[in-house]
Amino acid sequence: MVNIKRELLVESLKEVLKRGDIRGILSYKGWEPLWIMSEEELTQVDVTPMSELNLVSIFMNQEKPRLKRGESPDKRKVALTLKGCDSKSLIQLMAENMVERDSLFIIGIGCEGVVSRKKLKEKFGKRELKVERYDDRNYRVVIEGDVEIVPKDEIMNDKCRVCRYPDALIYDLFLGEKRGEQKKEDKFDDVREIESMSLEERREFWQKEFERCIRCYACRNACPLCYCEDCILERLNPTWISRAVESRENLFYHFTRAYHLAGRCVDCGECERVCPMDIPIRLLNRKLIKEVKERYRFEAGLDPKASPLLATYKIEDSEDFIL
Amino acid sequence: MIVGRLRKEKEKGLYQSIINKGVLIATKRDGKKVVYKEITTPEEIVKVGRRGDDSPAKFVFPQTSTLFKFKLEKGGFKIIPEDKVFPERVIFGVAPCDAQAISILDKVFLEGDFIDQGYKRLRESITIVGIVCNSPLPYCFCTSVGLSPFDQQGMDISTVETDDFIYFKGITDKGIGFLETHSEIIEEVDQNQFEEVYRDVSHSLEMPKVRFDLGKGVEACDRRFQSRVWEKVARICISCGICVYMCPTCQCFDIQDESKGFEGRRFRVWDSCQFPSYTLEASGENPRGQRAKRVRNRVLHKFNYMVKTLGQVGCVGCGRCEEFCPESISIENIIENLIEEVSANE
Repeated sequence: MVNIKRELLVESLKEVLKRGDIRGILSYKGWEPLWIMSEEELTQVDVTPMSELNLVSIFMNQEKPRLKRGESPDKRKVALTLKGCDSKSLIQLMAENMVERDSLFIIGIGCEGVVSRKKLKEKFGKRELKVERYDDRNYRVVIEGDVEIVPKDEIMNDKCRVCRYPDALIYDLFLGEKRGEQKKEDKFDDVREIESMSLEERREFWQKEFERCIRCYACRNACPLCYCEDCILERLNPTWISRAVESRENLFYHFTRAYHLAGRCVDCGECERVCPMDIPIRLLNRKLIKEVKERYRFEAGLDPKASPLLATYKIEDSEDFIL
Repeated sequence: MIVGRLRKEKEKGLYQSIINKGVLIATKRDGKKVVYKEITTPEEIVKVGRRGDDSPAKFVFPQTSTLFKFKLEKGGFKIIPEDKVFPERVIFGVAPCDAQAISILDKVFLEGDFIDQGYKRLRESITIVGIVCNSPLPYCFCTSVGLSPFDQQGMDISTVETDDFIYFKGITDKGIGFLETHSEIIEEVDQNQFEEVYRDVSHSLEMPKVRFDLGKGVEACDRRFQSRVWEKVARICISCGICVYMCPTCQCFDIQDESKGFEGRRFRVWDSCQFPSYTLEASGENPRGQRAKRVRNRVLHKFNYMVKTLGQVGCVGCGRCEEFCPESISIENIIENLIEEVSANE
């Protein structure tokens, strides 16, 4: 993430805590999410290029405690430190009426691309390391006291390569430097590569990937936009998707998950980040993002007032794919 | 033959011979990971000198397995038992943590009042060839749970490597039988020779750091059923099944029936205590409806309940749960925090 001075971050968050209407701040401690309820917890905060995860998914995964008789719900706000991509998922949730803007205090954070924990693990195989900004093109990796300068291209999360909105799109407070909308266009090279395969090759490709799936449902749970209280996966009567972990059922699971995100996915990359089996889940979502963009010129997560794509009809919508 | 050795040049010959006689499972590269898989040619094997990224326990206790099939006929249901004969399978390169994990699974399924017949049949077809772990990962903490990188518990055969040789020692009858089957390739040597090499290698090993005192950890778990630690972890946990499904000793399963037309099957499939549906009762009540209770269950099952039922800790310190946790939740940190909480309250 961008070169926010830690002192500035801590001071700003301290002010946020003092506002009095804040239940807690959800921020980062390296790779980990960190809830800050007190000034003591604030000392652990560390927003760095390691802040890869999307805090909106932790926010959405919060449990709502059952209220005792006569107890009123805690209406205080939750403060979130958000990158551009994370803010898009929040905007999409607002468009779907799942989150109220007033329940949040958003601390926007300028971002220059986050590090992929998987890539870093593969490269260094270490647990105790720190990644800091070095300059525009490099990260500074500190491993057990040794410093190494690593080019961004080597360890940056793939989603950052095609990122157009590095700054949080909505915020109450902005920390760090804004970079503005990036002019680069997402050419969907990864999706095109799969599209260029024959039907048979594509089937083989996905079958091989889904064979590894252990159905831990981390991709579903980590997705900020998977919020159904009654999920098709938990249904046993009728059983839409068998509990049996076999490649046919896995395929059905992943396709169902992806389709449910059509016109909604903002490409925050959480699904792929969490997958313990390295299944390229983002690729499936991106195929849908590409289709939605080409057919309806729509991009999810940009306008909190936008009507959900699949719930609207426009006379000029393309119909050529309907049989 | 109890002890033997093999010149490293002949290693591939041994693998080929196992493949010819049955099934060989060993570590091989799959994408970016090194996983246990069936080997078709000896060249595929990638030896890493540590545990694989996934656990070989999945061959002993597969994620999905059919218990029996059924068929509706005139006069009622007909049960068709699942009596598939498993080929002889050899799992090569099992690290001490995973071997210990399989021995824990054995205790769960094969000891006590009820013996799991399906597990038993599958288990009997498997021979475990263990290794000395000489390159522990940064997530490893076997030394904190009373194990070490050179334990032999759960192995049928223990192996140790020098520059020129691989030494084998048969521990169980099955292991000795294996060595005898391959006596053309593996030459018999004196047992002392093995012990000497084993001692030398063990002494030169890099040991994972001891993170907590096991006795104190077990005691803390026994005393901190109610603790703020559970609440704190639950605030960032997303209730996925990674920690459970990557764990070599987690052994909970769900049983499902599935039918199509007049035929169907009953199968069992891994289940995870982190899923809210795990303890959901027919009435709608869920005794572990809150995430903190589910987080607690996984930790206490290993560090308290299994201590009471099996007489040993159910965690082998492989560190996979933390390595793959999306939020980097660490079971060692949880135990450390519980210990701190206990001492702070005294």
